[in-house]
Amino acid sequence: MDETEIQSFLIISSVVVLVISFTMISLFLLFRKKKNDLILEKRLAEQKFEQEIAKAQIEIREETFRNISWELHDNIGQLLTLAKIQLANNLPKDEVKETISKSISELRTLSKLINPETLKNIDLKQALQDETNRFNRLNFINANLEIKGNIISLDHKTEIVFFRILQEFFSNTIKHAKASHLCVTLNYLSSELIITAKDNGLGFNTYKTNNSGIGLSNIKSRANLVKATAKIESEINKGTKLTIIYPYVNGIT
Amino acid sequence: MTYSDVLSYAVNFLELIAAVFALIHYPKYVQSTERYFLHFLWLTFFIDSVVGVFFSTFFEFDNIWIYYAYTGFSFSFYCWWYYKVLLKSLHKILSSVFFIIFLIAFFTGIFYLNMHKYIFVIGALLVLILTCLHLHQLSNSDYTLKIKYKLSFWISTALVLFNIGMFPLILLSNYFNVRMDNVVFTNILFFLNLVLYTCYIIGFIWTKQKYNHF
Repeated sequence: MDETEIQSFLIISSVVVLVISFTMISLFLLFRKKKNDLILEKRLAEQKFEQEIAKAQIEIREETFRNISWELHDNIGQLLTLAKIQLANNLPKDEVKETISKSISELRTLSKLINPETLKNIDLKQALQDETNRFNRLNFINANLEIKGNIISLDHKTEIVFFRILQEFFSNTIKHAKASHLCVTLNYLSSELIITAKDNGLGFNTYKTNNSGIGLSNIKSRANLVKATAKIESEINKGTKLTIIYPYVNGIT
Repeated sequence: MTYSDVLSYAVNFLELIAAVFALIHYPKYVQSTERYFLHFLWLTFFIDSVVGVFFSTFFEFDNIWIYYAYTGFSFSFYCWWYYKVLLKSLHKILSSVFFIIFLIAFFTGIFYLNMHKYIFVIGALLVLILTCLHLHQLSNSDYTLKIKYKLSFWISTALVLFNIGMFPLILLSNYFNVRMDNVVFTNILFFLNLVLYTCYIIGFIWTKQKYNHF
């Protein structure tokens, strides 16, 4: 190499090396930043998910308290009042005894339902069974639970969310729908779980936004939280139907 | 054998190593479009060493047209591959457009012998844009967390570094009147090839099957 060659070699090679190292460093910094951003985003999403689960759990508990208070007042309270009246009217002892033992058995059922262990380890099928039994026992609504296919146990948090969604639907049915019949189906297919809850109550117009309110959007956002889709169909005077579709693959992370 | 001959054989040797590594680790990326890089790397080695070096030495014909055809083929291959891996439809259209632009330039270049290096610059520029789009796409995907296991990341990095280094090399050597077969040019070209094939080899070694699904 002569002198000019050496000179041009030095210049060209230093430019090439400079350009390459600059590119390398920028690529490294870019990907490191994106990685950190993604980690942060995921952590936030996880936190939000946990918060939502905790919220659902609290709501389930609140609902349970409401049910207890309601049951104590309207069911056991009424029975005891009846016993008191029976005693005051000097009715036969056996009749009073029967009323009291009925209230004792109601009390037992209630105490079994609110055992903290059952509240903590909610099993979807069992929880729904208890709920429908309760409706039937209190003669509130004619409820039945149907299970199709082989039960596949889902992630505990997912089950909590589904139970809370259904609980909200039930409480709407009881409060507003004036329905006489409620039918819940858990259909375990090979690739997805389809949950349907249907009442024969008043129904509402799904297109009217003021009707779809917070409750319905809440149901949908909760379902999205566990990567399920919820659909609510309603027809005036025919009833309301809630469908939740949950592909099992969505639960695998 | 001169020093530049040694360097040019070293490039052939690098191509062979990369192709061998591609073959060894083939099962890890067989499901993705990166699998065509195996064929591409072996073809590169074949053209560059067997046809380019031996045939031209023994049969004494000018290998400039072989290299020109290879340049055309390789840039078309990159455009086609990026068409496959880029996800946005705009990017796909862009890679098709780049492919057509390059083909036009390529066929025009047949009639102007001294334009060949500019054809290379055009191809490098177009591929560089596609590579940047792909890296951008990767940086916004979930793959960022384990980017070193993704083969297409290493391929794109290799192409970015190689092509971005080719610009100053070609343009400055033109400016300083350095000829293509000059030792200055061969030295730097060897360095760029070293970067290119090292990235490929690292990619083949590090990649994991579950990260190569598209």
